[in-house]
Amino acid sequence: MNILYDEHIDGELQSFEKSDILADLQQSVPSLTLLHREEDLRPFECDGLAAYRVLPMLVALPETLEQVQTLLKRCHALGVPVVTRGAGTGLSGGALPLERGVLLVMSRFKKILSIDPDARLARLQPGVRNLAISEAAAPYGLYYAPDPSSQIACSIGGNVAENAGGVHCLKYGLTVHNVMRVDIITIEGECMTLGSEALDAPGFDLLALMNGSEGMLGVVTEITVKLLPKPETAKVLMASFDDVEKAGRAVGDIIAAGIIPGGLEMMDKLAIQAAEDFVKAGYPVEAEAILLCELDGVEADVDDDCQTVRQVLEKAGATDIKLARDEAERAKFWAGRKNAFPAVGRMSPDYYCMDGTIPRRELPRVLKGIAALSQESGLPVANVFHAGDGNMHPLILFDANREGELALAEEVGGKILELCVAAGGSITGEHGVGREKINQMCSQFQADEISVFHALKAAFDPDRLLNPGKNIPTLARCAEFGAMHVHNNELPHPELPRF
Amino acid sequence: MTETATLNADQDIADSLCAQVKQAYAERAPLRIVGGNTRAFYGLPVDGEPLEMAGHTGIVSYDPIELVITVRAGTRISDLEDALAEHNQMLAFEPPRFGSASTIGGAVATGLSGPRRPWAGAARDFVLGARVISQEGKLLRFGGEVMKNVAGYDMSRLMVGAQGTLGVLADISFKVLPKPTVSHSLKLSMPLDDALKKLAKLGRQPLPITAAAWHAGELFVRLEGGKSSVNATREQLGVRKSVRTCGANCATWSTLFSLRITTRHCGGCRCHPTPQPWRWILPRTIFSMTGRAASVLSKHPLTPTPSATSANRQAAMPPVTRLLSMAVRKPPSHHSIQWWKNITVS
Repeated sequence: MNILYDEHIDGELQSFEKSDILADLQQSVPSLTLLHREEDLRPFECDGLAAYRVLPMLVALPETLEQVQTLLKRCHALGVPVVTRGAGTGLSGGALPLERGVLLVMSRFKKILSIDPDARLARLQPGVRNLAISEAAAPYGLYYAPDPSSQIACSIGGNVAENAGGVHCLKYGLTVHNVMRVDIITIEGECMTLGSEALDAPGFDLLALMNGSEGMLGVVTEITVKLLPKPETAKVLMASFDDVEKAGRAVGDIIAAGIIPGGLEMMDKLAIQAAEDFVKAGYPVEAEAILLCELDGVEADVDDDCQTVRQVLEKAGATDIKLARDEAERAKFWAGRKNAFPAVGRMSPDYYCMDGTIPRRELPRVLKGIAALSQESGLPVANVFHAGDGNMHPLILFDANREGELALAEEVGGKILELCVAAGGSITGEHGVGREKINQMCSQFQADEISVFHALKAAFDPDRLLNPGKNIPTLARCAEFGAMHVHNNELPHPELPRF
Repeated sequence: MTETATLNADQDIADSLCAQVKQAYAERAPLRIVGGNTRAFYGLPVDGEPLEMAGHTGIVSYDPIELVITVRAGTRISDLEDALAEHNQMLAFEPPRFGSASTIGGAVATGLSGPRRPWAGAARDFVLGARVISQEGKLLRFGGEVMKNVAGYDMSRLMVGAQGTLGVLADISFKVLPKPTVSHSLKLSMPLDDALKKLAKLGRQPLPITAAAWHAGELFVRLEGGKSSVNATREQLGVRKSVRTCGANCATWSTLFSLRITTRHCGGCRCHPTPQPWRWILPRTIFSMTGRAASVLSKHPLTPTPSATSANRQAAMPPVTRLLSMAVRKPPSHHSIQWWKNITVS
């Protein structure tokens, strides 16, 4: 089923003349940069999920919060949908524009407002790049922990919108665990502050809610994040296995030994070969799987833990264990992992990256299921896995120029996500639902739960103007998708039209 | 591999709870959700028929290797912690208990966290998912039993601290952590302002500190982690034989745990029979306003002479009977946020 916005099932959008809206906005926010010519709009037609492209009606590039506020108020009054975009690196189409909507681009807000080394806090505008935070904090011996692999480009506002993760989540948490406060502007133009510089605040935890809300509840205008003291040392062990299942069990054994590694990553044979071919990270190309285990903290403890992990890996049947000798080799080991996506991209004209999570014990079963789907469809699948926190990134290789292959890749991807849900996991660990996984939401949630999501959305944005069609599917879409949970043979909401 | 521990009282009464909520909603009769009834002092008094959660108990699933436990809301915190301790694991947010009857559902509904909060995170940081009874009496599932899950809005974290106003917590899934190998608490004599300066300085270094408190001229610091780093940090802090130390279960932490403090420092008199401290949560930037902390605390018109404060900004001051965080609580200003108002369950 096509994932582009479909008014029949995703809800009607208001009709208007583009020229009227443009004239109105130019008049009400005269200082605002508004792009409206096709050639200017083209660069904004997609985010990191480039398979889906829609030309927005208008692109707004504000530079002041007053402009954002007035724009939102005006769009609210006119009934024009607003899709917010940060750096445009998102992988789930969360910032996919609407043909009849304004794309609000926050990338010009890139000031680091303050760094307080004593309070260990950084106040940021939403367009600040993730990596720029750690760079600015480095002189104080501090850093910002969440590190999505796009950290060189992705913005903190987008990180909040998607509740972005990275390779250190098991120990250091996701974005939600590292944000103290956000300021937002609602679609009605009201400014709100959620959270504070203090650790806990009374009232509902709307701050937690805002993380991962995919721009559906408000536009994030300022973020205060926690900074952590940089670990004294970090060491990486690389273990090779002749069997994926053994590697999977080794992950459990490390945790059973009472160790929480800073990072714990697994790659399968296809991913190892792709990465080695691309960055020459020193990976064993003959291995069926490798584990990368990073231990960080105080030097003395890290040395003790390295010993323990080495013993655990030996016992788990690792065929080879290497400790990165120095910082250069550690960086090389990680370079292979961090470049796994582009590396796989060199093997195939296109690839489709999934983001399911599972309880780790289900790994062998889910990997078998993925292998079967790969064989059945004829599309190779490379597996990269945040093993520590159960977040899988199967990469489905295909060629969009071959008729029907994109559709086939999407179908395989959808089935992989359903495997994850069946194993007790989730359709997305860190990329977000966006537009990409909108149909699979119907397999993870029941109609009553989806109705609660809609009620919550309506509390912030009753007219559904902020990023409509993302994150939460309509019940009509779930009925059409055919994956709705039917409880006691009673169809939920029988009053809804079915297609 | 999933291990289901059986407790003495392991019973699932979710169906009956759903039926009670459904009926109450039909009759528009408010409900007062009661677990161990040890936190009734917190928040505003609620008038309603009790919805007894204490019978909804037991561990639904626990797999130590997954670092995830799912537990029914009426389970006593002590039972849950015992089950985790068998596998050398713990709830890292150290939920405060207000008596042996304190339940895990109450801990999550009030969203209070213990001394490890500034370093490890709050209750909400460890909630992975929840089954929640809606006002219509339906059992809804949000979040899950995996570490990372960004599908849909984060309803389960929204439930933490919502005091049952958004639904009844039936089961809750937590991320759990291994217990540290070594735990060691130290006591250093110093005035409050020096203690604040010291903590600000220590906070910028990667040290294995997991709790800190200042009380009556003494700074308490808990060090936890590997043996080597704990010993090294002890030396760095200049703690030698002359300083008295106490272990992980040292009385200081357990009194802070339950947000209680002894009254003997209160001018030598017993000022209040069952003191419940104020709990202030202040920005850490108070550290950069050196000297201000004590004066702010002592000059506040509602507070008596300060006798205690702690590094995690919990100022424990007898004798007062309410939590300031509740006293200053304001409803969200945005009119549309009050969508929860029509929920009868309170």
